[in-house]
Amino acid sequence: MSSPQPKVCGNGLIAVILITRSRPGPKLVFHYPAQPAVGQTVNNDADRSDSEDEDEPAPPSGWTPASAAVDTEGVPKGASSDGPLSSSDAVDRPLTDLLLGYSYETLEKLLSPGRWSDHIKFEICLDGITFVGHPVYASQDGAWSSYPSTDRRAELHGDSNIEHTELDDNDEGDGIHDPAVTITGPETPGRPKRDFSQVRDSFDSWAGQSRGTSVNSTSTTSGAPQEQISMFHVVFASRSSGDLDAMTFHQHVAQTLSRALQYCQEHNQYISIEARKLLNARAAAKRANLSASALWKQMVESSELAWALKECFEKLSVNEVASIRLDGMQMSVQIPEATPYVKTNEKLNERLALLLLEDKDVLLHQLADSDTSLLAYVLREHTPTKSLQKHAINLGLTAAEIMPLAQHLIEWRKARAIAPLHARNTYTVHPDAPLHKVAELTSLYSRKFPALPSLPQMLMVLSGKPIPYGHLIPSRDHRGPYMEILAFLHRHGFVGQLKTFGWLKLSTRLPSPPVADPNKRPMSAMSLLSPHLRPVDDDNVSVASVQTAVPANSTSAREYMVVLDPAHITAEENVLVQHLRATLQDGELRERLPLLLPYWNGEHAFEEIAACEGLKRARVGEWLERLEQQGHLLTFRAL
Amino acid sequence: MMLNAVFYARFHPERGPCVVHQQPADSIVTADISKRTLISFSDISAYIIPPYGLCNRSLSISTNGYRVLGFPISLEDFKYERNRFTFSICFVLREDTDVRLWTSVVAKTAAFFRSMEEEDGLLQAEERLSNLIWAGDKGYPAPNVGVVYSLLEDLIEDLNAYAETCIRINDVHVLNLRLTKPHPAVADVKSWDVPLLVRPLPDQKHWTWDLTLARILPHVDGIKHIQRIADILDVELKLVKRAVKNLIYHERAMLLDIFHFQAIYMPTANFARFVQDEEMLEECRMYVNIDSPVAGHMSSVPTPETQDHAKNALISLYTSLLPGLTLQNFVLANEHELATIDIRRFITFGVIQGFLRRIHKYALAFDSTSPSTQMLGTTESSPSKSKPRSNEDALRDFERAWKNAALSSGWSTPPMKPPSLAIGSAHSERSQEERCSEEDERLRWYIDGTHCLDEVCMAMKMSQTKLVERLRGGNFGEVIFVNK
Repeated sequence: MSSPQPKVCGNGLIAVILITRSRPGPKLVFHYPAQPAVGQTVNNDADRSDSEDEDEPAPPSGWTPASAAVDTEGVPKGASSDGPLSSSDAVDRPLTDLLLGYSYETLEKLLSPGRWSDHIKFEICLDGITFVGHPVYASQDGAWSSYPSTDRRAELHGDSNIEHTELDDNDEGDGIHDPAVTITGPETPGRPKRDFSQVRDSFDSWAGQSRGTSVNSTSTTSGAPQEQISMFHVVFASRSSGDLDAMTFHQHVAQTLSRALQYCQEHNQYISIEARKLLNARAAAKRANLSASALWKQMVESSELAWALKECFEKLSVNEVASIRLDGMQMSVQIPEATPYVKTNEKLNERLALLLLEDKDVLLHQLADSDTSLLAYVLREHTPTKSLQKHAINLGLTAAEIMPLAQHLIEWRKARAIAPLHARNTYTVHPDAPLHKVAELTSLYSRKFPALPSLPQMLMVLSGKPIPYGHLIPSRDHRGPYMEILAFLHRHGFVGQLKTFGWLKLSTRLPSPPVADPNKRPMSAMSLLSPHLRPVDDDNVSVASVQTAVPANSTSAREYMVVLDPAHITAEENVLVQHLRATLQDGELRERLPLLLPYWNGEHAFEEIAACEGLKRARVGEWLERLEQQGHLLTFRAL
Repeated sequence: MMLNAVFYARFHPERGPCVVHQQPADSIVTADISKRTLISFSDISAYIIPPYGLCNRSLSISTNGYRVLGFPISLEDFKYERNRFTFSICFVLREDTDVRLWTSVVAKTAAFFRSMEEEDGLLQAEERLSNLIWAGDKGYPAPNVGVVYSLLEDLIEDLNAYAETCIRINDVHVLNLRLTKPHPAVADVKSWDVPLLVRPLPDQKHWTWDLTLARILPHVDGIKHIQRIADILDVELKLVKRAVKNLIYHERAMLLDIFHFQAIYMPTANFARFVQDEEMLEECRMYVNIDSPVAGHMSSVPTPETQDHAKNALISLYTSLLPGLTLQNFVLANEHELATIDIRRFITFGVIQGFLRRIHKYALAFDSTSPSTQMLGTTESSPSKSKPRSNEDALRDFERAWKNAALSSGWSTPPMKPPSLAIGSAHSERSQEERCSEEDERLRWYIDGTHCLDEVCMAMKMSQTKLVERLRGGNFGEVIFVNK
């Protein structure tokens, strides 16, 4: 790809659709975007590579690079994500009852499945487009009341039973048992379920107050809806060839959103009201011959639900967290593990540290009760240089208390789990470092770290020969800011930790007295083989240099044995290990050697041994260094 | 992988949507109340036989942990009751099965049934058989009645057992199906990638080679990059890329980087596997070993000890590759150990096996005079984001773009320069200068941190050392180099 596009790319989501069913029949109430970009995306895989082929060799010599950016990515992207508000091709389209190439009527039938689909995953795939939803029906008598229906559901659907009861628990128990509940403020994307419980409280208390949302005018609540809806269904349409997994998508988005909407509907006839408003707007627009873009603009601005669906589409289609407001209450949805930041191989454990992905102040500000909550307390004292374990101890918390908070932050993409940053570690530029962002981040960086080496300079240094990060720090006083720089680099994906791996290397010569001949042979082979690079007549020189080179070489080559599988040590290896132990000067190391041995299997980073064994890092580092100097370790370094 | 059931359903003018045949029996509809069907047909029948506006395209629905893959077909003809015959052959799979394997099979089966009916009326004929028992009725299936039941039976058995089937109804109607694993999409081939054949190609008799492939194949040697191959053969770059991409798709080739001594490599975490794998070590030893003419007689009978020695030497050589260490310096530091080793093969082996990783170098330009260290490269590459530029710049850009377009289009253009023979020495000096500045212009486009130096070297036809010198020359402001 020749143009510096951001890494985030579409995941195949093409539209979000709201269907309701009332007595006259199902109704397609709203969809976003107005004209989903399905045409150019369905079978462009083959074409795209070709068009890129043409782009690639062209750039130099008088190419306006801007045109490159537009050509390769701009068109399909713009059409799909900008939507009707800004996308130029949608501006003057008249209103049609067509969506994704199908008539509204067809889709209404297709996407309003019978009662069998109540509260379960609905998934169909029509000619390359997958529709995923979670239909919600009113109870048989047509009423939307929460408590009886919950019971009914629990009976009907065994598999979703647990989650329902959990939800109910939260409703009643006020979430006291869960520390995170008290701290999800209005601006923090919290777990929707929890937000629920919280909002329920505010619901009860807010009868007389103003709603606090500017979007949703209170006038809409006047008068009961004339038509009772019996079902609503939020459907997400995506390209089947995209990388959206329908199961995950249903579980984390469609179901979550539908439950929230159900709650709103049960308590406030929310969907009935919003749907009526949207349908009326559409009818009025048709009478007034309004263009599609004008109507969508109007709908999105006047209806909170339409806005929420728009937000869902726009954020989810680029794998971001969508923060929406439904009937005045805040919630967030996301497609988990779709985020470009999450490295799934790092499983959260106590030895890891958290790297905040946003500024601490910003996060604290987002917390409503930032003075009292546990999360705020943990955040305020947070540093990426301390493992969660140490952090908990410092704050007087237990691991069981801190882990859910860490998990919560990670889940909502406010933090990432990393090995604690340490000046003794070696960091190097990450292969996926977003160098195209250097320009835009440089000014932010220099504002944060004035009078320190600039971002490009840091990158240049870190991409050279690997040295412990601490060696870059000029003085003790600089330590803090430099570690902050490291966190900054880490957060933006510029650097990764270079870790050391290796095996124990045992000299085979020690137990039995040295036998000269067999060990000499490889040496002589070497000395015979090597001269051929030199002028042949220059024999003296080559022999001399070979002789100086060989001793070091031969000890490292033949006369050792590598313990490749320390978990299953052989008898022969054991003899040698015991011998090595006996020769060690350091008493503590001698004692700890069996403990350290399992880590030397080529897969375990040396830097993490100390933390795993609860030893002093400097001490372990010293031992390893000494062992390596004496040639007892075979090591390599990798990211 | 497992196909759980397959059934043939149609819209019946009186009964509505109903299952005519199913395999296994009782899997979709059943007369026996004690038996549980895989899915509830009545719930989803509207999706099996949809309104005819949605027919003749694939339509699948998930229910009860299964996914029903269908391809409803609707035929319009006066001979049918209500002028229409709508049916679907549906495949029932567990929901966690990879659908991509099956979609084409379903479509093909649907097309097959369609032709059976359209050409010979076989489906309608079946229903007129007096002793036909419909699925879900008592006594289903009636033995040896009609063709569809046994067809479905063969289909499900063969596909589950062999992942392919060949069913012959008569001389005209033969159904061939095969489940093929979908290949992962192949990333785009860059013109500075170096293709290497990793498995031999099938004979031309078995594999139709396209013309480009036949031409480029001798040059796919792990040494020449795509652009070079295109240049040598005078084949269009796009065609070479396409051919190589095709080879990669079929896992016959892989891509390496351009080998040169300014390149940097480092081990990956997979290196542990290499050390522990005696076979791979031996393979590596054999692959990289050079039989030196001087010591030929020695190495022809390698003792196990010399072999071990060589392997250990290889391991320690690989471990000494580090970020920031160019191959040149690596070779200088390990001259002796590398004496019997083909350095190119040494690197290539690691890259192919995935325990070695190339670290690419990128250039980033800065305007060092401005305090905010605004970047030159980026200003150039994305004017839409940055400040509007002066008219003069825009004009120059426009001129350049036009010139480029004109030259690459193959229009006849007025001669820009007099023929080279006629130029005097003063003239050529100026044109040299001109060329230099034009080169600078082109270079500027590359120094925004998104183009690795291999690419730039290739495009500018310069060596990396020369390129780095040029970039540091001061014409580009402050340029830093980042390895990643």
